[in-house]
Amino acid sequence: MKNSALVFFIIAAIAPLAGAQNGIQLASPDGFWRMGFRPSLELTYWHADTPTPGLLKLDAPDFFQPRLSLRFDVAAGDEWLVHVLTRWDRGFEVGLREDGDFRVDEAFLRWRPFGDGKLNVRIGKFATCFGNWVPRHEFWDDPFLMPPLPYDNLLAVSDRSAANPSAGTIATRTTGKRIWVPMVWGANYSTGVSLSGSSEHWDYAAEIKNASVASRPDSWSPWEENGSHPSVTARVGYRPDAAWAFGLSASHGTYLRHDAESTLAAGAERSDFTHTVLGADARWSHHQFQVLGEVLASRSHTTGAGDLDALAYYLEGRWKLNSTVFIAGRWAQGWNDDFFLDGAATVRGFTREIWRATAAVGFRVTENVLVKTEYSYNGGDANENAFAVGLGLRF
Amino acid sequence: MRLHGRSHPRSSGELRYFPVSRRHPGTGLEKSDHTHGGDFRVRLCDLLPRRFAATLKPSLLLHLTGLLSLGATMIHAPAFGGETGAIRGRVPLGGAVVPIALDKYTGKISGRVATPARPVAGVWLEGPGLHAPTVMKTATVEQKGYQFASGLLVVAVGAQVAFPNLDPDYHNVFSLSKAKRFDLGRYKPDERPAPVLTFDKPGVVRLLCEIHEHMRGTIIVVDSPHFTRTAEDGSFTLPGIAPGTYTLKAWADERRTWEQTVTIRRSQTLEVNLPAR
Repeated sequence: MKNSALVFFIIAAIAPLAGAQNGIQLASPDGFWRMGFRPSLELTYWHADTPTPGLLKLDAPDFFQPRLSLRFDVAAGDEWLVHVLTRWDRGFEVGLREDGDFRVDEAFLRWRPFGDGKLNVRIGKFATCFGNWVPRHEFWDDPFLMPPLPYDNLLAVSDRSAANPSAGTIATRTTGKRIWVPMVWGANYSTGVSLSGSSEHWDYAAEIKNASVASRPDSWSPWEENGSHPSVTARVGYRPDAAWAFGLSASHGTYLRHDAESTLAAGAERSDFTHTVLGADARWSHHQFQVLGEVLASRSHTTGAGDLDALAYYLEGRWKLNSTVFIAGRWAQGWNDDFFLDGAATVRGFTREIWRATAAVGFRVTENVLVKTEYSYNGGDANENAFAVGLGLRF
Repeated sequence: MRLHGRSHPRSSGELRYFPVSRRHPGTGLEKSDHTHGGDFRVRLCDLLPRRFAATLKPSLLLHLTGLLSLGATMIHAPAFGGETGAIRGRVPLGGAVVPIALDKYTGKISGRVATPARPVAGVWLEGPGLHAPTVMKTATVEQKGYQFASGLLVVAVGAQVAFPNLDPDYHNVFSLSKAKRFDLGRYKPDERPAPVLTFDKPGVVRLLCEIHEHMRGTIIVVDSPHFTRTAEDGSFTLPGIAPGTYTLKAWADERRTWEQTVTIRRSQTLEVNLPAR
């Protein structure tokens, strides 16, 4: 009660600061050098069944997740840009680090040789180009609070142990949440180099990075994974007109972490543990309606159980009722392979089949104050409820 | 933004005259209605015989006035002629900086992001009896080069504004300002007619694009027939004003606004140089 009152007091005190601010913008007299700094704060309350769905790592049903983000940009002309995004919260996966976690989620240098979006060269730490959810994954762009199913539903594939899956690990769901990986881990801010660009109808992107798209946030830093087993990801998009957009994505790389090498069986190598994902996405939008969908198929090679395949899709829609209120719904399904251990009978993955229905409502109070709330239910092999309400403030 | 509508006042016959009655009781000097400060300033032109003041060189008068006032300088000079007066002056524009077009992901911007329009200010006159004209042409706020083609537009209450998208990609113009809350949704570039809104409440309307966060625009809605947008050097002219006492207002951004009492005399041009903020 005391903590709730404190949180309420803090929110009430800082909310008026999120007025008509646009951060801090500076420029040289000729406009060649420009600098921008903008903080934002997201305060989210989670209430979920335990074990919690997806990437939520809550030990108790209720959890308060504050996230302070600082964005810093420096541009030199139209050609050069440095972007840094730092965050302080209680874990990239909600609840993983309850005592607080400071991260540099993005830090990259971008060069545009032609000064426009036709060709971008990026080096550093940045979000993956895979799929059509990542470009709108931030609090202010996504009507939901939880990522779509393919980006947070865990497969029975571990990047921490080459011995996984085993009969022992797959049966323990709570421990599995700490060692398994999804098809694509959130926005995947791993480190590397990319080429990307857009023309009126076509988009392209290709990147080579230090960790697989399935890798956990601990692996994204260049100091954690040095790039000895890089992952390659590419995407091509086609927009016949402004209303429609289609895309194909693919990624291939090693998902086993470097610190799991000690668990390798004799003769096995890290590069045997490959994770390949293919994705197709579509988007249609018109006036106040937006409909998006994506289907992903992945194959993860394990030495214990061979290839584990997974398939998942989601379809979501958003409708803005007026300038303040929007409603959104998302339907998703996923299937994970059954797999066999040492020729024994079928062993079931912990969520062989899952579906998730999510409903969300958002309120744009001002241009810098946004409230979102959502309820989601996981069905199929799971039976989980999750509720969240989030307040976003930009300064 | 391009203003197709009129920014000139209606004929002087439509305006009513209001006598000056804002003298400080102790000094007899006129009170200046500065929003920031609210102090009393001496208007040099009020201390001089009108004919003498009108024949003084504006530069000399400006210099003398500057010695007496740290605030705005105001000079009366012969106007363009006729029964009305005019205001000519300058708003000290700062180097307002718009956000960097970050464009982190493909698919949102397929061309070159244009250089944002240079900052200008809106200037208008308020006073008893001054109201927006009843007949106006539709103004236009173009989205071009992933910017609002000009950063600021001034319209009268009741004006209609069209929002054509001239880029190949979607724009989604919206505003959550008190004076006008709207969300146009996503409009195709070739979609006609372009969305049109009526701005029926005075105030400042901040324009944003839901897809392109760097885009910034402003519409100032005024209940007055006398309004304009400054040039890039901050200069402005408000012609055709009936004699009387009014409040001159200027808006450059949320932090830099001006409010100044002015007295317009027949056939004279009042020069007002607003102080730097």
